[in-house]
Amino acid sequence: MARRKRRAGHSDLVVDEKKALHRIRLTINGEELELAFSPRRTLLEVLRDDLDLIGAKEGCDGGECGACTVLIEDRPYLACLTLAATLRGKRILTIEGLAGNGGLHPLQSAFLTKGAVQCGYCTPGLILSAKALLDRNVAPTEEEVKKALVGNLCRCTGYQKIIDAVLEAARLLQAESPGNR
Amino acid sequence: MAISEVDVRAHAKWIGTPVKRKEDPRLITGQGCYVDDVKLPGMFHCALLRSPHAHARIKRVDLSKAKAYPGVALTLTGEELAQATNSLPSVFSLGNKPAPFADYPMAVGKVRYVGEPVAAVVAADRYIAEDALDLIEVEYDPLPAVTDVEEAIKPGAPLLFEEMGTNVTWHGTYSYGDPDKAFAEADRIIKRRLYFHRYSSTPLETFGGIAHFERATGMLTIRSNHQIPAMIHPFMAYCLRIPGNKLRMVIGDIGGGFGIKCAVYANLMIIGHLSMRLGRPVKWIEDRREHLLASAHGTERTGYVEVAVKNDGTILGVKMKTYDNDGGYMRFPEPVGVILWSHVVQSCYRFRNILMDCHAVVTNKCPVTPNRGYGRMQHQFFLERMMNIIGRELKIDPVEIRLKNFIRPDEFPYEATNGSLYDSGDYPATLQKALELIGGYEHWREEQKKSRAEGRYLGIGVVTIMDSGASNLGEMSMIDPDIRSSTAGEAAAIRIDATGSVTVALGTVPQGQSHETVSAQIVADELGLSPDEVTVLTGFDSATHPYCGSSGTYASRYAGTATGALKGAAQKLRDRIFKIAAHFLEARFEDLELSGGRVFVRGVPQKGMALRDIAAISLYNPAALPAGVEPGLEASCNYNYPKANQMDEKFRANYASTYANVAHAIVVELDVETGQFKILKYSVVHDAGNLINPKVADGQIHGGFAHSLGATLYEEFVYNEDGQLLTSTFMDYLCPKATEIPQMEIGHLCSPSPFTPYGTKGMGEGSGPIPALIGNAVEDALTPLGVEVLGSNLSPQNIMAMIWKAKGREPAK
Repeated sequence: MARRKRRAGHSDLVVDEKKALHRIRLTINGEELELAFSPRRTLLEVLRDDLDLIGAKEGCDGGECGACTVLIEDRPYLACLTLAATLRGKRILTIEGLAGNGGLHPLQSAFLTKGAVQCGYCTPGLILSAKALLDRNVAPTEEEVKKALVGNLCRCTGYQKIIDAVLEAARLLQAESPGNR
Repeated sequence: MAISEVDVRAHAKWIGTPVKRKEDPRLITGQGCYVDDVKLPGMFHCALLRSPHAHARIKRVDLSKAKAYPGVALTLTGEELAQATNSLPSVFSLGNKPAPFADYPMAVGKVRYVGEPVAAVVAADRYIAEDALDLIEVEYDPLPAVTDVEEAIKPGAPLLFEEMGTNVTWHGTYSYGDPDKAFAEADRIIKRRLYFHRYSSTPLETFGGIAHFERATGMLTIRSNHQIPAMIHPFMAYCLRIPGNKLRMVIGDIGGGFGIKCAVYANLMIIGHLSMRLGRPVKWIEDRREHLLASAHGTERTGYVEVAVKNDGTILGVKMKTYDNDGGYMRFPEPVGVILWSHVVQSCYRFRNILMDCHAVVTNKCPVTPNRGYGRMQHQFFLERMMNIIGRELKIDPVEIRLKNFIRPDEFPYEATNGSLYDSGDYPATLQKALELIGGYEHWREEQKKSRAEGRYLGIGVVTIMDSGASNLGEMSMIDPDIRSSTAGEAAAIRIDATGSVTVALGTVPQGQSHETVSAQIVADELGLSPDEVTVLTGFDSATHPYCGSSGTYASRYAGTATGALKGAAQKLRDRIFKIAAHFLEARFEDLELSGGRVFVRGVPQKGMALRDIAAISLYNPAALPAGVEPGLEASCNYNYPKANQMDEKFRANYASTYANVAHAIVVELDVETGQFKILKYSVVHDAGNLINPKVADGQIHGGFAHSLGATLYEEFVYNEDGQLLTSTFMDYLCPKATEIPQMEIGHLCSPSPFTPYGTKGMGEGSGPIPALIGNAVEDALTPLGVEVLGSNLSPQNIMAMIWKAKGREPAK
């Protein structure tokens, strides 16, 4: 009922599409793209509707649940609150781009082995929030992990297995890092 | 030995092991496919106009401007929908009786809760649809609202359905044993008014659906995230006036359900009808505010509880008068929630005299539906609070009073007073283990003494509860004895194709319960494969999956029902495989073994055949099969729990199938200045018999705990007296985050069910009475102040209100 009202009043058919379209170049999952879209659209809509990158989910459309979390320049952002037009030249990572060539990122492996997934709806956002943490802090404490995930709501797991998985991924990443070989 | 008597537990390789989830590779890479991820060619989008009033007459709806808006394909009012469809069937009408009131998915003539759909718009995209909603003019004549259940039953209260003359939509009284005698013989009768508040488990994915009517075939396909698609399939076909074989219910990945998604069907009716009018796919996805405001909430109950006790703490009997605040409508399966205490009538205790006087009441709040612990947690909240209150009044320790009243381990299988057949358990051992895991009861009582001397408020709480599984829908007979039902089942089909690969389809619709994984474990054990070699189809399709009368994923039913269906189908295949192999190997049926994708003579592994060779013979050369063997290697089983029965004339039946039990123990330290508390220790010990996958089982325990902790500490749907919801976003309906979950110790005991194929029991709802656990601990901590906990929401402000009340002071404004 109120989902899109705050941006509505300008549905596509009543504005002149060609004039209103916003063109930018940006990098999504390592691929440089030139996109055109109306300026009112969010990153979440562009990802899901235009690019078929459906891993980012809509849970609240109000910045309250974190299901749409993606990384912009390595930092977690809520794609439902980010206007795509503001992302000129930016580097964006979604869950689809986390691991290349059909492999798994250590975070994904750890989520799998630790039983951190149930329905899976929150999982892509949680993994990306955790990646942003591990990128800046290679050996977080449990408390630091909890704080880094506080923007991501999960209703199935009760979080403990997710926290365990992030700590496990930190260990995996440290074991992989060149200094430890 | 006949194959069907083989207990796979004797040679289980996969059941009981923490196999990695088969669902995870797609979910951790963003390839899960939930309903909002599906796009169909030519798809329209639907948005709903919702009532701003809790109670009002609709005088006029003018859609002309919305209809004229560019991009709008179709509009719909409640009146138009009511003319084109049959009213929603309810438990009131299933016994071929007229329902006390007509119920449609959109308001007709009157709105009865804030957020009730009034009109719908279908347009090229969601923006246009929502813009067009703004152009709809509705003239309302507001009426007085009633939100409090006890106000709603008073004479002169505003009536939601004038034609009924009352807001009590259903009332039933059930007596088991001899309650009057028990109360006459009691030393004391202890009475309280208790309240279980309104919340819901709010899955992260909201409701949604895509209806797609193809004019050429007359087939309506509805993709959604519904939890009981097979059960509501006949309802929807009836409402939409189409034959069942022209309605196909398809379910993909579901982003959490917890019972609440049983209620999505009213909305699916709207889009089903719209798609039939347009001949194009119509998508509707609820937004979060719509979900919190107007989807469905969990059951809110006020109870007057009386317990007859002996001075030694023996409970003789219980009388309860309950009032469920069911909101604006009574949607299927309500009012079943009102009588679901029938699964756990005595909880873990021996008292057999019970009188239940139950009322379902409509008010101007959002309708209610199942929510994790449906109907049972309210009952057990009342009982577990009363155990402590009784203990305090009789000066008996809360652990001791439970031990005194437990059903004894040697009494199983135990037939409860209402005919529910408790399968197995050792309740004292479960409680003892929970106390061990918090570091010992005596230890904490000592710590409590010390802390009190220091002016600190330490509290210890325990609850001991049942986690019943797989409801026998015979409980609907309690509402209307003319509804005859005894379905506590599930269905499964297994196919071995010409490559020797195994594919499984079920009637379940998991929302995170890992059915692909655990089903693969079971089939792998039965057919001598590894779970990696078994594909279990995701989701459900009513056109192609097998299903039974109670299929779905709700009421913790998989372990007690789907296990039997899988075993039944697998054993049929084993039987056929062995007959074919015996024929070709010229071996005795009894001497054969199935392992590693081959059938071979036991002890002579080289004398065997590959599964794919047997599949190939049965598919391509049926003439070579031994006499009486059916071609092809596919089999299905429509299983019903063997102890499921129909209700008798005394309202007795085995209302659930499995009866797991759980003990929780907690130590809290409370701050009497802020009403906040820290959880110092927490343990839960669960006895669900054999676990199919311990990792999955632990996941259910962790998740259930978080739900109920959130419900106790934060979550509540708060209404003002005009019926406006005050907590309608995640900014004010607060769910626990990663920082709010304390460390917990999990323990398991194993009392296998003697009645399920692998000794498993349903589990997943054993956390419902956590509000009682925390209530017991808070009350224990505040013993020096004489505080009594009578409600289930223990937010800091509620705790402070209790402290102020105990101190005889008004709350600070």
